[in-house]
Amino acid sequence: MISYWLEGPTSWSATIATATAGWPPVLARWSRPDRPAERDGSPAGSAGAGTSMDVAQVRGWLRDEALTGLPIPTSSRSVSSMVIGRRPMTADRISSWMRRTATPLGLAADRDVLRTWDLGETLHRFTLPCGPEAPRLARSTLRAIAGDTQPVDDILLVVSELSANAVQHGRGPVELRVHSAADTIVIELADSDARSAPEVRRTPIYSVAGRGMSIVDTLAAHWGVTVGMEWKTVWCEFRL
Amino acid sequence: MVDEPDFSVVTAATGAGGSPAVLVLTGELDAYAAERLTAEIDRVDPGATAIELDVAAVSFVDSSGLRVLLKASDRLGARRRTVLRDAPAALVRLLELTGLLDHFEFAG
Repeated sequence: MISYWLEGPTSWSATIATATAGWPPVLARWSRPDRPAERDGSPAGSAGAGTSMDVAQVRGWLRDEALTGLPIPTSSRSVSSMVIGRRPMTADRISSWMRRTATPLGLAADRDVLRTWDLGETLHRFTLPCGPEAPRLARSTLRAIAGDTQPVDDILLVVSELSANAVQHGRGPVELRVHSAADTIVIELADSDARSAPEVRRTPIYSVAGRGMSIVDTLAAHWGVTVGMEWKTVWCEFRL
Repeated sequence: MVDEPDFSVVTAATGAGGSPAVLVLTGELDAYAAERLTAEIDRVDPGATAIELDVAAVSFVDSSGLRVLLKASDRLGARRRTVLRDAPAALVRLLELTGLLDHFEFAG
């Protein structure tokens, strides 16, 4: 099964596309500001017309909407999972989005359509214990990688929030991945629970829960959730 | 890897006899520390006139830690604010970020 969450930077639209029926469900569909956003909790297989695209349409979308004119090098990675975005997609957001998508059925072969780029990044992977000590271990890992590079305090706070979420609300094993490049650092927390994803909540004034993702949303340059069949990855990106 | 917790809390005054309770916190206040701090706050005398948390030596706070700081006031029943003594700049910034600055009193 392939599913896509596609966001168009030029048309300001976003659509989940599925190649086959089944999970994940259609979550939402955004469109231009002059059209109302729709929410649809129905399974992907029962999605109505307009909420899914076939592979050819996805190719067309990528060509027309996503990659035209973007200052990124060419290669052949593409989309295999759903990316839930929270903000309008800019060119650099697309690059970070494309970077963490994997090779899908059929799409990767079309080198004229799809692009990736060599980031020269270093990937660190760590398995975190599924207990309350996970955030601290995640922080010490990031401290070792980021050193004094600013905004290290923001990075430590965000990784603490994401790892706490992963062990409290996700399912183990939890993996911390850090992609560090010259000017960016991308942090991913992957767990085995594909059924729930974090969201930014509007917290009532006296509420003490649900502030973690608000902090992430405020401090990270970008963040999002990639959901597979039996896993999800919450990622965030910082400019160094 | 040695997994030493990097947090400690010491009750300097339990608040017995109608006095303020004083807890001294040291280290990183996250989900792990939150459990221990909650347990310590639960031991504060319900008759304490206030809960004062000396946070001068707190080097890190995330939302799990924040949650416990907010809940400290609940221990005294009324919606009485927790006093944060010598709050580090990072903690003040986090409180600003989350709009919770007004929920605490500051001392020191």
